[in-house]
Amino acid sequence: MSRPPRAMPLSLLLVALALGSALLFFYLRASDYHPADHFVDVATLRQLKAVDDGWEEAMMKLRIGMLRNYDSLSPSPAEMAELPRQLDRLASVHDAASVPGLVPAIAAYRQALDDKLQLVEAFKTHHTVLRNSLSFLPRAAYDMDAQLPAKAGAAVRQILMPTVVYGEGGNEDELPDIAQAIDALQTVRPRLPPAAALRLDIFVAHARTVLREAYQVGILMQRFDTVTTAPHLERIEALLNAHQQRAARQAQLHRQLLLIFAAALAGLLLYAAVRLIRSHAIIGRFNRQLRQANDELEARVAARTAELAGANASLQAEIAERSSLESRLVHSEKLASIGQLAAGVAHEINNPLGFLSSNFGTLEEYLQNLFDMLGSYERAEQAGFAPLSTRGLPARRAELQLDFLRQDIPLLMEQSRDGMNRVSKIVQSLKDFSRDGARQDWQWAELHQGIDSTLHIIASELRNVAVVRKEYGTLPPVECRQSELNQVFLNLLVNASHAVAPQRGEIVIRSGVDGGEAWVEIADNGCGIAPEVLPRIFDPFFSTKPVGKGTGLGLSVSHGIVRSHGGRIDVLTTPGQGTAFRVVLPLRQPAALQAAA
Amino acid sequence: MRPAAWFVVLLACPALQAAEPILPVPAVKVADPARAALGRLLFSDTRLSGNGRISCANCHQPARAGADGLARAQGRDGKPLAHNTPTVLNAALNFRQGWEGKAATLEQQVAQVVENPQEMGGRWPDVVRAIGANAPYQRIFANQYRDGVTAANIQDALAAYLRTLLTPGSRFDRYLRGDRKALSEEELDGYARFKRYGCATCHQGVNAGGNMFQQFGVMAELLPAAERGRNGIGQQFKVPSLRNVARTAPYFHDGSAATLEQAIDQMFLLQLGRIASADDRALIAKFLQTLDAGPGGQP
Repeated sequence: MSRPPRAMPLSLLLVALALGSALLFFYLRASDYHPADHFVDVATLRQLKAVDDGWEEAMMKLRIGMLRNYDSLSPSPAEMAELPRQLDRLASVHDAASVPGLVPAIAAYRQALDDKLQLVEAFKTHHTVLRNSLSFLPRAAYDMDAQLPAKAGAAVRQILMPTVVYGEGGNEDELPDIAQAIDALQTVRPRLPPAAALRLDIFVAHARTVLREAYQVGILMQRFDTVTTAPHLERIEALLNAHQQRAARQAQLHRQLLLIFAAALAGLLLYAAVRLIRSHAIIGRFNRQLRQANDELEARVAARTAELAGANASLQAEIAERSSLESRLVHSEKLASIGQLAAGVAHEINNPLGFLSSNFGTLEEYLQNLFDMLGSYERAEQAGFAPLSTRGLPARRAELQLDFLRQDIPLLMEQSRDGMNRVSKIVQSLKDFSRDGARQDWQWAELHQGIDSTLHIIASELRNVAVVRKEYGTLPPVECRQSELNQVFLNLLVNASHAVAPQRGEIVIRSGVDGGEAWVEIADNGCGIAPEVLPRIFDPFFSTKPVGKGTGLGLSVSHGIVRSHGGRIDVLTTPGQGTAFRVVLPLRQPAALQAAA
Repeated sequence: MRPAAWFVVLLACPALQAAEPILPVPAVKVADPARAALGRLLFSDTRLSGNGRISCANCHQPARAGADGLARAQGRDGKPLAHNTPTVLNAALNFRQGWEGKAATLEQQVAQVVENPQEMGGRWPDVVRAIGANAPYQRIFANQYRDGVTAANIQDALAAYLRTLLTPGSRFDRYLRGDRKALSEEELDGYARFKRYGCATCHQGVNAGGNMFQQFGVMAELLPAAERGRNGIGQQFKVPSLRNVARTAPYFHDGSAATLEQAIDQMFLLQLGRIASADDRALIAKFLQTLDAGPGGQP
């Protein structure tokens, strides 16, 4: 769901960017060449053409004498400044790239205009001279005519008319005749008086001037016709027209594109609006779903809480079951331990019983002897201690070894009493063990006493494999369930004895108080515990002993007992060198734990 | 047709030509009085010269009808200039400026004269700096021109002033405009001769000249051989205006004609290829004096 909202703004942005640049492009292109500009340009061209036409018309009028001043052929200073300005404007408003050929065309027109202006100036210069001489020639002829000989008069007439006709634009056919006539006229000059000669000179000069200037003017008129600016102006106009048409077509295209652009923009806006509405719908749906999910979640939380409560209850039941199982397990372990020790205990009882019965036999014999002795003394007494009756007494006493008996009987009695004590002690210890743990209440107990009684129970077993050394520290009474702790000590001592077997090893029992905790350490110098086994030693049913020799519950149960006391069992072992189990117990049980128990 | 009849027809030709060759000077239309006034200030300001001692008015003296009365003015190096000082009166009506017509516009003429080492001998950047340093000028230019004191603006102001220096209302113009009493009999006779002899072929138009180039000495072949090499023969000059001509002696490009009569004589021979009679000379001179008029419309 996260992909489309991410992709949409990017594509929208791209489209908007494209449309924006298109708009900019249209704007830049659209402002290219407006029809109004074109009309201004065309008007300028018309004006320029009018200038040209004006000159042509003025020249024609001057040529035929209709016009008598040259102002209209003399561009005024204002015109001289304005014409180039208009041309510059024409050239500058269109860049060379948009109207190819315009700049050269304008330059060509300028050149033609300059050429034409020069021709106009030359025309004015020559035409005035021509007109002067042309108008004066008849007068000069008239002035001279009277002073000339008749033959010369004919020559003058031969010169005058054709020259005037030529001067007014006639053909060149008679030019050779005129030249001949002038030469002929010149021949009479030397014979003339100075005043007449001057007249003749003036006439000839003017005739020659007419011929010369008419020729010049003719050529200038011809050149004026050939040097035309019109084609250049037409070319410029054609270029501008083409440009205008192109611009118009482009403008039309741009209008169409602009229409498409507007449509696209509208479409984009529509699309954006639709997207917006859809987004709103999606957001609304999400909101609804979210609310629904929230409600569902609450229901599920309630359900889960109920489930958890159920689980908790079943767990509690399980724990209770487990605890009863455990206590049964502990009890059975205890029984197993006792069973295991039965032989040892029997032996321990048997041994004092053996020497008790032996002592009893000896004491019976001694008592028989003493009774016999007493009988002898009784008879002697009855005899009144007659010598005869007393004669045998010392010998009898010697036989009886009365002195020895006096020493030995107390000894035997002592020994027997000790044996009986031992038996009663063992019996007491067994009674201690057989007591049911669950019914036991917390009591203040001397741990040393418990250890000693445990040692008594398994003394026979330990005696064969190890020397037990007690290094008791001072221990205050500890609040505990003693029989359970005795079981712990029994387990640890049995394990130690197993560890040191078969060589005769040493078991050291240490105790002490450390920081409000009592500790009892049972250390052996046996085989130690392998590191891979160490983490599992407190697991139930884990045993390294051969099948039948251990239940695999000893340490597990011990661990449970110590933990129920709020204590712990620390293990320090070095494989091949020995193991030390240290039972650490709080001196006083917390009230809560006590209450729970 | 008899030749005599031809003569009559040919002589009648000018008479058929209805229009007068000379047109009256138009009234002064001052497009921009403020700029023209500024131009008048500049016209007599020596800051426009290289040495700070010469102004336009040194040579174009209003009291001498816009000229200086010298054959050729003295140049900055002490030698006389190439040409006689032409009047600034009606110069705006000339098709080009200067004897040789080198300047197409008054602005160009101003630009050239200021930088001509023989004439004003200045340099435009220096002139602009000198004018721009003057606070009143600065203020006026700032008022009149967007870009303040520049060479183009100084030239524009001077040209604006020169365009006001027209002299409408001469007696002859009054005659042209229909006042038949404006000219005396003699003056009218002089005008008729002026036209008939061909003076009016070159000296025509509104400025009675000043609208074409003409060769000096078209009819030089009639001169004695020794005189044909004189100064200017065969060269082209702008035909000078004859407006106020009586007040702008001496005459010609080199000031070689000291009086109007001498000038008329020279012109008859050199340009028209005729011999002027004493009457011609006197009457035409009388006519030319009717072209005088004071500058009108000066700001």
